[in-house]
Amino acid sequence: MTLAVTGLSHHSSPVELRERMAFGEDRLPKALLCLKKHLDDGAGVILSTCNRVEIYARVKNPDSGIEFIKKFICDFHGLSVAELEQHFYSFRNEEAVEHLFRVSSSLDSMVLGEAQILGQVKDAYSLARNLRSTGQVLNQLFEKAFTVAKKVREETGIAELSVSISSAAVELARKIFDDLENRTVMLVGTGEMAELAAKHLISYGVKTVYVASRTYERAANLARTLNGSALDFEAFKNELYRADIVITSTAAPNFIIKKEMVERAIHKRKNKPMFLIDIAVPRDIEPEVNDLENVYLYDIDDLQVVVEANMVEREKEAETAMSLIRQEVTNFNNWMGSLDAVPTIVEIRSRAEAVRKEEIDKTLKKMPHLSEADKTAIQQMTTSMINKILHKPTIKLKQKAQSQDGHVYLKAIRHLFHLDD
Amino acid sequence: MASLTYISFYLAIAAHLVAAAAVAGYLRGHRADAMLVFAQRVTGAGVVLLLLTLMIRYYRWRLFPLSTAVDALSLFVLLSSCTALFISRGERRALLAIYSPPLAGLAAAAGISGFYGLNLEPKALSSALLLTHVGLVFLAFSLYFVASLTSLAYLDQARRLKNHASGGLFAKLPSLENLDRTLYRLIQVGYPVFSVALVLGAFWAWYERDLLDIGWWKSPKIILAVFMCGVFSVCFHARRRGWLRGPKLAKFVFFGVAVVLGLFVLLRVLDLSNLNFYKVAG
Repeated sequence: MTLAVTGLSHHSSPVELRERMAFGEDRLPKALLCLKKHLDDGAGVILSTCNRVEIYARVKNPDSGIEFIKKFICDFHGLSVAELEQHFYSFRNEEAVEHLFRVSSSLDSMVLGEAQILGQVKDAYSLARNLRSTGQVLNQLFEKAFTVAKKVREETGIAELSVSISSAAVELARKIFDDLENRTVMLVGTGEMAELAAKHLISYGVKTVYVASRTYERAANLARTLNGSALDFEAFKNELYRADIVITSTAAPNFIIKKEMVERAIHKRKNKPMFLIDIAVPRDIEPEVNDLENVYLYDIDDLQVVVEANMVEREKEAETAMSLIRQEVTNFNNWMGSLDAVPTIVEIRSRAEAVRKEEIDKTLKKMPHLSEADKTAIQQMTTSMINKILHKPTIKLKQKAQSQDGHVYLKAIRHLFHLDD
Repeated sequence: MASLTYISFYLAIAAHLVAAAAVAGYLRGHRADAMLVFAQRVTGAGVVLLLLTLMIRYYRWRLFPLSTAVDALSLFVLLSSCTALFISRGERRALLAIYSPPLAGLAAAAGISGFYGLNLEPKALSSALLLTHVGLVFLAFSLYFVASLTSLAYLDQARRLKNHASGGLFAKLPSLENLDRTLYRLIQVGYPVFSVALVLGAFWAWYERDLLDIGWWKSPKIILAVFMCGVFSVCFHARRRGWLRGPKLAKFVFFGVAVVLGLFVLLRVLDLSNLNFYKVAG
């Protein structure tokens, strides 16, 4: 049996195609039940997210098995394989294992290191397991994938650095302030990105939010959404000293926050640091503000540079993650190899047991004077002899089966013991 | 006993050097947190070994080992390492990357002076008062030394944030506020410790006035000590009132400590620290 994965993702197909190929939550159970009926060992897992549709399965014949899976995906959505062939990819055995480990560890995601994919893979596996659509190998594979993903997150920095503007703003705020819980944020303007950044900060514990806008009603609406207070646009200049973090996003053509204003605010704050984020274009905050001590000003370009630098760091961490994954793929393949030895071991033990039983029956017939206790003792002795004789060869066979020339050992054992006669 | 002293002493020096090497490994690697944990443990071992060395010397000579150069450096390294380890617990662990290399440098200096002075008999410190005074001075100096290193970390962090730079140690150091608070705590503890040390010293000087020159208070080391107290008094009170905070405080602390410690070492090297301090016989 060959382990195979077939599907398409954001690497191989546009979003318009992926959305047509996606298995909706309501249709996924039906798709799984239909799939498992036709699969060689009745085991398959469907992973369907906004960026990928993949099916993991064990197939007898990899070529025909993979073709079947492609046809299944296309037929389910009323599309033709020929039309979509160029968008499909497939992996077998070791490559399939590596692919799943990479996907679960978010190394194959659109945003490297994103957190949602592991949950999505877990949900897909959980559903397949509930519908008894997984077997020993797929269970082990997916459980291992979750362990590997956790290890990658813990032992590399792949998920640590921010890769969006609003999370970069939070990351920088946390480089300035020890904790964000008792901080005050002031939003000047009601732009979407500023709102997103503010929400991000609130999710990290910021409690006090002020919103100022030229249109008081818009400020009030946004303040209500953020559980904050609205400020008159002119009043914010006098209240600037209250804010630890100021986010500006207005449509003003000129600077609305000048150096003298911030200087006064810093003086009133007794030199406690201030973090200013200017998301507006044209900029709202005079760049010279950054020259003031204890004031840190970032505009949209600066945040973008932080995001790009973090992406580069994540790429480097991805290399470390890949080394981890390759090691785990080798371990998993060794385990798969040991599975091949199991039927042979079972056959040898059955043969040995059959011979033991035959000889014991012959011998005990010639010794009718023996008591039941004696007969039991002889049975136990012979069983113990068989177990001891076969114990070390069994261990060795399992070990050798995991190695590259394991199949040679298996073939030799089967020949020596006439198991294929 | 002598061999035991040398063994424990040089193992302690080696421990500090190994810790600095581990920190270098940490700085080169992206996620070498294990190196930092190792550096912490090895520094801790170095502290224990230094303490053992001083205890052996005390046991051998029945005198507190505070008066020779190697003893002074050893005690300074011991107290500074203890302070550094205490501060760089938990989320502030990355601060060890700032503390460890200078501590290793001081340990190396102690190691060199150990060749000449480890077997020397310490001078008797004439009273418990003097002993306490000297001990507290060392403690205060250690706190200020670690404060100056913390201020370096602060200034580096602040510079990177100002220049919108990233990467390296920036990603791992605690926040500016955390560093500022750490700096302030060190001054909060160091300033009263040093003040008490000066008071005890003045008390001792009055008590043992027969030993001292009439103008002992004009001795270079006394002037420097008073100057240092003044620097930290300014740091403490100005920070408390919010006049000095952030980069200004960090620069003030760093240059204050650097100047004072540098001058103390210079006086010691030129053998001028006791100039006009003790009464000259005859």
